[in-house]
Amino acid sequence: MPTATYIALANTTLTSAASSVTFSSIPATYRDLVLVVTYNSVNEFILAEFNADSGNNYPFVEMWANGTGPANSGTGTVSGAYIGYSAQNVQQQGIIHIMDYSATDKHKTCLARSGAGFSLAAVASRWTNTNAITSVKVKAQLGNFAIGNTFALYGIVS
Amino acid sequence: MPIPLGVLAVAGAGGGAAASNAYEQLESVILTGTQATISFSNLNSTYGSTYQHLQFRMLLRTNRAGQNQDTGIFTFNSNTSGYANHFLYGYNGAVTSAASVSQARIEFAISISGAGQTANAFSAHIMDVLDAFETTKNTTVRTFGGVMGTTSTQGITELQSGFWNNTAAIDSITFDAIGDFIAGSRVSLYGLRSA
Repeated sequence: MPTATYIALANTTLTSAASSVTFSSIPATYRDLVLVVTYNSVNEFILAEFNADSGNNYPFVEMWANGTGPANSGTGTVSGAYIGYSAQNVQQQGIIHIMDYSATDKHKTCLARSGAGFSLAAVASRWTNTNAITSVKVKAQLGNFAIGNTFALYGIVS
Repeated sequence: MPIPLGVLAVAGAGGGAAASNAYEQLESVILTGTQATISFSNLNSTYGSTYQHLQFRMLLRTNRAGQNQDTGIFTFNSNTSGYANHFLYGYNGAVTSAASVSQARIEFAISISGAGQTANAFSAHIMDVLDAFETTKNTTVRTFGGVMGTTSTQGITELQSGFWNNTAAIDSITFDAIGDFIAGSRVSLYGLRSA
């Protein structure tokens, strides 16, 4: 029997600048989480930190282009799942799928796409931990999110 | 200053983004052991009158020996002709574009975790099959997928499009790989209703 599946869990729009936004007490009810973020900040990574793990435990592989040359690909490790890269004073958007977030038999693979009118990126990342995710902290690596930036968390039912 | 949100509201059936129940889970296969293929059948007869589009959300890993990545394969309606693929993927520091026509299947290019992948790292794939049950158009799919292991040769991010030169309504789909899928692999099927 089909059931309603794509559930809005929480959202906010910033009325003042903030370095991060945290979704906590996430139940294990769903299969995947989807986080939708519109952001502008300084030139920096926009990341999703799980369960207060701020270590460099999130390797990623990216494919990106900005129209000034061929598309590029690279790998790295940062302190949160890669959502996007913010260029200064330009509003961008990113969507990250956190797959099987409550599973305890696998690391957490994430897929993110982000961009604005001048660039885009497709990224796969992994949290190197088998714990179920109970909190997601969306953070700007260096600076603050701006007034008007939005953050919305959805759960996809199992 | 961090802003803690908690989980402020849980909108159940009829609420929030699911107010019209437009996006619904239909079926899910979660492996508890090794299995060569994962299939869904009777799709048109069961869902064709209710849903317009299908989405498959997957976490996969195979036992393909000695390989960080495996190649995903799928076919519609047990048909083995008339497929075409295009891939754009980032892997080992380079972006690659590739295409193939007149194929026996649609593929995910080397983006499924194989036995050589970092332990506990499953690849993720989100595949959309638009207008799956229409008989006035050929079938087009698009997929976003990837995984990141430990080294640059264990990471791939892929955008894929596939085409089946056939106007038949989709009634079955079979996912396969060069290796066999291992326990923990899952494929979940979702349906999107039309307005």
